Amino acid sequence: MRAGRLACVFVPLFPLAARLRAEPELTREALAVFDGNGPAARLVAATRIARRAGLKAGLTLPQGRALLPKLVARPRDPDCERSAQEALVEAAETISPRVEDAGEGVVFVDLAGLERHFPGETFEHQAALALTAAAEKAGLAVRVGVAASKLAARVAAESPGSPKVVPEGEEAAFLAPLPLAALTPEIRVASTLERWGVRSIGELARLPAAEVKSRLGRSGEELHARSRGIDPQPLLPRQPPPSFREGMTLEWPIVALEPFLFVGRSALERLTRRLEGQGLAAKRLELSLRLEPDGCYERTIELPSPTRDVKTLLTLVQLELEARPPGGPVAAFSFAAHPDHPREAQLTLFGPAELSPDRLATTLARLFALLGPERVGSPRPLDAHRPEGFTLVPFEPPPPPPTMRPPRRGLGLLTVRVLRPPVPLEVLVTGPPLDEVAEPTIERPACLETLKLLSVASTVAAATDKRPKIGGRVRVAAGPWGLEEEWWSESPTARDYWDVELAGGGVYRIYRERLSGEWFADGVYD
Amino acid sequence: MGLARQHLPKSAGTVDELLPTAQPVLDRLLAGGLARGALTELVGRSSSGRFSVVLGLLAAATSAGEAAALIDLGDSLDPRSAAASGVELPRLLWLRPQRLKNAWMAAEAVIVSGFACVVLDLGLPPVAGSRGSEGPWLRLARVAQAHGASLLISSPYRTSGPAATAVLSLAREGARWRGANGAPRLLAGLDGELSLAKHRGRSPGDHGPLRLRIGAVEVDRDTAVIPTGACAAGVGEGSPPSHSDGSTVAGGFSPRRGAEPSRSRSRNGRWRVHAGALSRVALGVRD
Repeated sequence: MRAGRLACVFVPLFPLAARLRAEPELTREALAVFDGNGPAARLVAATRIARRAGLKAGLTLPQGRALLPKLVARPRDPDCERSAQEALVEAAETISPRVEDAGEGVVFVDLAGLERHFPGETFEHQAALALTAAAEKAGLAVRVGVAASKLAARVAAESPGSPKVVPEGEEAAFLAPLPLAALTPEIRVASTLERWGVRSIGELARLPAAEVKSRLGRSGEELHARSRGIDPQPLLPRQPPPSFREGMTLEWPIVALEPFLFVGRSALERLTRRLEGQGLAAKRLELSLRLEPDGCYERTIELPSPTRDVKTLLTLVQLELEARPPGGPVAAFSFAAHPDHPREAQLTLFGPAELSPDRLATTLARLFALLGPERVGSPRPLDAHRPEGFTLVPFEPPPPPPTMRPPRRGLGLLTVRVLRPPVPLEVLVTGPPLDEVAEPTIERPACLETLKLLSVASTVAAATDKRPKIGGRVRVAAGPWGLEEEWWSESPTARDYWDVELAGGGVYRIYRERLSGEWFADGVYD
Repeated sequence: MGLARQHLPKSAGTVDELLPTAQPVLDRLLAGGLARGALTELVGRSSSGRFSVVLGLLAAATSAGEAAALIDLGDSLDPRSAAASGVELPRLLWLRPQRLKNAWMAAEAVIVSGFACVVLDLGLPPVAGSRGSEGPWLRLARVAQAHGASLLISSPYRTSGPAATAVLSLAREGARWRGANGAPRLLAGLDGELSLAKHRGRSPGDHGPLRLRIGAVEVDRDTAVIPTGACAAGVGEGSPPSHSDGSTVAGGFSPRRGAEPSRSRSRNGRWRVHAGALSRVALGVRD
């Protein structure tokens, strides 16, 4: 039983790696990342092409340009680095649940209990390879070292030949030849040790622990323990983040939608890859833009159901930005996904095929973007008397029956094709003049019993109006049927309905508003 | 046209499965039901009973446990009528595009996502953008074939061109009315003539036009306060009328047959008559 084995996953030149993860097209360019502002900016990392030209850490941008005129310079991007660090931790968490975030491209992974996943004597080596593959999938090239302590694992990871495994019990010997600076001691302690003539970790480890503690105090005791391969603090696994976020600061503010969608797509792809690694999908997408010169723009895009489809998410972002433009150049952006578990379906052998929940979610999101959320859903009648009333609920079909069943015999009911909105009509009638009888009210409607409908014509005259044109002599009319609703409210509904067949053959449902006396057609029997 | 034929779906003879419509006239003309993996077009003018046939098909598909989608270009669906026709609304996805182009895109999206029954209803004329556009219909036919979906286009006139595997034509014969000479008059139903205008893989004239009767079943309402939108109807060639006397009762706003006007007392103590007799309205308020 091996216990206390740790793996250190280390990203060399982390600021550069985070930037290249966001802009992979710069991988083959002479790229350098600078930290600081203006003349004080110093080079912190550069690609191999730039390093071959003589660039090294600490140079200023003019010095770098003097060495390499075609140098591509980028500032350190905290958004990129934060996203890369989160991606690194999540990649490590796909191998082990106990992962400590050490920051700046370093994570420690507890390998205890992974023997069953990687059987054999070389399980540590296999676990290290799995960690490397997981990080590469997240867009980061890493080195991995395995040892019993964080320091030994970190040193092993930084040494060439990844993955490097320090055999169990040989941590002290592995660390012994390294200079004392590898322990990053305090300045006071470091100067004392230098006066003592202690220059390597092995020399410090050979000193008696009690004597070191009595002379250098608690910090000296911790330093001595680390020199012997003992961690003063155990591994502190991090809590999973409540949400997933991807973003970056743009070199130049973006003023047009198309370039923003270009850079936004890659961020969404990274975001969905992270969600996929955790077996999750986005239920809600938050878009946050930092505007130039100041201001911010934040929008929340609700998704009909959890999805990981980048095209769908990008379309929704595009529609949101087109509908409500930010109002200024975009200097930085970030997407935050609220994770949720995607829908699951039980497949059946003998019944009708069930819709794939993931594909259905993607389709619904696209339809939302294409038609609008108020035009997609499952219809439900309202508990009201007005025939035009309905409501839409999210489409969540029940599971299909376990076995095939024949369809019910059709009822063949005559249905009404509803006209939305109702078509205003001009109706010629014979009978007593309605206006002379009395002022019609809900409580005392006009006398309609003897009313005879002669002809119907729609009053829609505009050529651009797409509503159907209704007109003709009334051949048969049946009615009126009264409809009264919400008489207690300030806007009650009071109508008299007729079913009419016109000479042209169309059969319509028309009504007359009692209060206004206006006529409308609200349905076609079809 | 030659290029178009290269992209045509296979003839219906190669389609393995059929989606029964549970409507005898339709099933008889289509030799068992709507072909899966093919585009079928139903053509009919307004008041020909076309929308009733569409809802009947959706009722058949959803009652068999299949998911169905209605792309409703005319925004015509009355959910109450659909439920009365037997459509299981939780299994129905209702899409209401405002343009034909969006309707095409929506239809393709739902077919690709695995819906077994997809109906694209083009509403009432005029249908803007439908003339001279064969490409999208061919594309839809190919997508339906690739995913095994039954795609029905309900249109006031022929639109899909060579993409359709079968074309059904529904001719309007007129409405049936009950009551005359002063008797209460009610809309009893619609009569139509359904014929197979085209069926790839079958010779024309296999079937002559069949008579389609819609209407004859009484709507059951719990109260006679306000009529619902759905008319009662019966279906099928020679389907028996609902009542023993051979009469039919229907109409969007007809109260239950033989029901007396109901009354209730409002808050101010007045009597409110909610619905009248069969024909003449008796709605009013009296002290």
